[in-house]
Amino acid sequence: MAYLELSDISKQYPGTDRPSVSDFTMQIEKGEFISLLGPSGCGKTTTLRMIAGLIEPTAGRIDLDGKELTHTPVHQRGMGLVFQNYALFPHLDVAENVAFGLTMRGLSKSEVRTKVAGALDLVQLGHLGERRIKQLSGGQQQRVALARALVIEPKVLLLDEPLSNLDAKLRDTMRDEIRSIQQKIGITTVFVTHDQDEALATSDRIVVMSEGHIEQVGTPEQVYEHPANRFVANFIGRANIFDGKILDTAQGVATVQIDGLGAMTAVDDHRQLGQGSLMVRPHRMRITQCPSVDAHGRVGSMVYVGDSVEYSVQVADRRVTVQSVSSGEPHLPPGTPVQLSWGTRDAVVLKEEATV
Amino acid sequence: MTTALHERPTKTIPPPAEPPRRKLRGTVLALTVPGLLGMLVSFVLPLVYLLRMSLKTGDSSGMIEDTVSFHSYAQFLTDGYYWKMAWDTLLLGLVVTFFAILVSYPIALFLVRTESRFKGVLIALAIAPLLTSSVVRTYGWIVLLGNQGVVNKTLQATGLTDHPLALVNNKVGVYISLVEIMMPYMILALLAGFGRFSTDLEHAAASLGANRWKVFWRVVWPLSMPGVLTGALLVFVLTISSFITPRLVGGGRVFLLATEIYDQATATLNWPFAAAISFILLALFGFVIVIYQRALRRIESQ
Amino acid sequence: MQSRLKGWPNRVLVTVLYLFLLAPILVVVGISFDSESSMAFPPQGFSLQWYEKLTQNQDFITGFKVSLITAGGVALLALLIGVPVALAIARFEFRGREALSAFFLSPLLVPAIVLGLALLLVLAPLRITGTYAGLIVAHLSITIPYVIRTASMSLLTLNRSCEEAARTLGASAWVTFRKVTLPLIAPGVLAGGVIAFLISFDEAVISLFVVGPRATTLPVEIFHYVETRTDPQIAALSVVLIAISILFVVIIERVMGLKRVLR
Repeated sequence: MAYLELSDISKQYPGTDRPSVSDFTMQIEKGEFISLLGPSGCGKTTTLRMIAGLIEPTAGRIDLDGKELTHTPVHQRGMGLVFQNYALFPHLDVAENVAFGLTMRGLSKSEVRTKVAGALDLVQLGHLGERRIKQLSGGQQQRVALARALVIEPKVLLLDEPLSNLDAKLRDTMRDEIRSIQQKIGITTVFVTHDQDEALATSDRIVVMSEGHIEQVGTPEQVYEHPANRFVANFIGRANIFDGKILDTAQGVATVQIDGLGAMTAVDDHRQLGQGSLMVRPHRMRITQCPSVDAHGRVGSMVYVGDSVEYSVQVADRRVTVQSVSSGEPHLPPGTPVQLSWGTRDAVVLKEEATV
Repeated sequence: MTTALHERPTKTIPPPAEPPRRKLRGTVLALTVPGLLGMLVSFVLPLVYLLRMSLKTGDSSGMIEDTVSFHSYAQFLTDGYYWKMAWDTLLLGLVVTFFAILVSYPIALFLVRTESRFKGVLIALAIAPLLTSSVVRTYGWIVLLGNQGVVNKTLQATGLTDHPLALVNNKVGVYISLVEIMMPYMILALLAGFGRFSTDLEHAAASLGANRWKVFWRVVWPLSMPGVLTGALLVFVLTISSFITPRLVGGGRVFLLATEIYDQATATLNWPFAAAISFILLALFGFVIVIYQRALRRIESQ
Repeated sequence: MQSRLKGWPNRVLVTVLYLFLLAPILVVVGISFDSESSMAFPPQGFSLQWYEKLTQNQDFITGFKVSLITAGGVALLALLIGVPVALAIARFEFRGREALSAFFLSPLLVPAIVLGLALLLVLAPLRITGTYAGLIVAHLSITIPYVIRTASMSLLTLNRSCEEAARTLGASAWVTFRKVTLPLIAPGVLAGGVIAFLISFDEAVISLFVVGPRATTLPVEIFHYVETRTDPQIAALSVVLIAISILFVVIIERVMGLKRVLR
């Protein structure tokens, strides 16, 4: 049995016709860092709040360390939750904020003092205990919130988009810091985010969600390199998706006939013939100038972004995005006839959606 | 491990909706019961008693007959004297509301537009009178409008009149002082209504070639309409129910529904009749509020 | 552009209107220092005699005491029963919530003269007219709406996730209310209490019906005094009351200012 088990949990709010989360099932191992990733409204925060106990699921069950806690009240769950807006108590100072959960547990004054000092040191705020919350910067507030959640030694650390209120630079620093603290104390962590880079950089596994259900669960590499379907391919990174016909599939490699490009090979985990689609990341494509008779298409437009050049290539009636490393060679001007190519390992066959 | 842990969860687990809902109802009840009891004693029961009283029959000797009849209402509605009184009350409300808008609007507009350092102080000054008991301000008007007061002194000194004008103990004084007493309410309502207003709108209209009057009538006035309506309702309702000012400035010689309720209740001791007039006043209130809501809906739909 | 919109005629107009608005207060302050009793304005000379007379007027002193105790009791009771109602309205979804909220605001739609008479009909048979209990009951329904309004405003602007954070940290619903919610809505609750106090303290019309020889409030004493006599003693009293009002405004401002410091 896994450490944290969510079995078929669903949540439908009264007065809505569709559940916010439906039949969510997931096993999380002790010490794992899991990200729930998806666009807003996909049910990721609802799922997190059900784990925390702030929302009661309409169906399903939650088990932690072999004990059911589906109906355990919030304040008896011992989860550490960090809120998007930090939710620090404005009427208490930094140390009092961190001490809140310990006081609730009836620890002695000296124990509280020691643990608060330790937690503040962990987030590098040891010197700011007496400050009022209002006097802190966004990044510092974030650290206090983290310290407050960690000091109670929670069974699971829950993070609800904790980085979204920080500016871009600080976000990366905090992201790495959260990951390193998590590694240091080995705490099981569930991290909710809509930012693919955050999820890729921090997680052991990523759960991609949309419209209340799971699209794919996998390591960052799996979800990026082998997206299960169109939604995942488009949501994580950029993707060129070609519809075509799968002619042949054997030993994990398929041959796909694509209009305007001819037969192409791609990695295939699904082994189904017939209608299918194929995905290639823009930076995994090669673009070469060639005589117009052999050309797949012509360069439509070009954007120079410093370390790379992005071409938009008109192939038959669709546009394909190609990202090539800028090498000092002259760029291909619009109108240039070009050929596109990629290795078998650069392309993936996507699972067809059951109904579209 | 217990067997329960091995059972696979099924979707047929009963939804935990029932117990929390019952708990919620209990909590809401526990929170509101003291308030409901307070309201019952200090508001609902008194009005029920008043309604019952209005259906009894009384006379000027203080005798009250335990009837269920509309005698008191009929007494009011069949006497031209009381119709005149109701009309006077209505007229007072309309005139005071009109003049309150007239004198409050420039102040409100000024307060919205001004970029003065003292804006906060000026707003405070405009609504500070609210914090002064209306008895005190009414007393101030008696002093101002009296035969020896500033107004008459000034008029005589400038030679406009020979004799002091009678400004207290009559309707004129009541009108003047009520307009002033209602001003802070009107200013507050106008300020709230001006929330959406910005001088940029005026500038934009002016830059499009509108002159000052056009800017006012086409931009400023329509934008302030919701505030004007709210203020008008508030002032009208407060005016037709006002008692202290008509009583003191009117010196017992101005007869309105509110003063009549007091006289019937305390001097004549005809409680049923006082109660009936009360409900007629309440009906007038309801009528005005319905008109206000209609007008508001029409403005909002524009 | 600016000058075209705010010419001097505009300024004169606004100044005159301000004078009209503040005239009764200015006059009251002026004649309270008058050396004559003629109630003429401008005053004939300066003296503090009316303030001295005030200190000897037992009716006013007793009335002031009665008003103070009544207003204090009303504010306390209105808070005790109004804040829980605000909590229910702002925090829970239940059928009839809108209706409940409208019901608690409805006393503001009934003229004071009507409510006063109605209260007399209930309180007289109970023989509690002219007692503190009677006065407090009489002022309750007109102050509760203000307490509910200010308290629910604070509750609605409160960051809900602070309460949720407290819950996840192990605080029960009651502890969360006591340690987090209450401290955060305290300024609004206090403001509601002060407003309830001021309304009760200034209330004259309802009180006219329910006072009695045993206990009469200050506004009623003033009303009867002005009805029969007029001399600058009332002006001196008014100035004292205005000073008290200003004191309260300063307190509210301090409390609200404090709130901003905490945020």
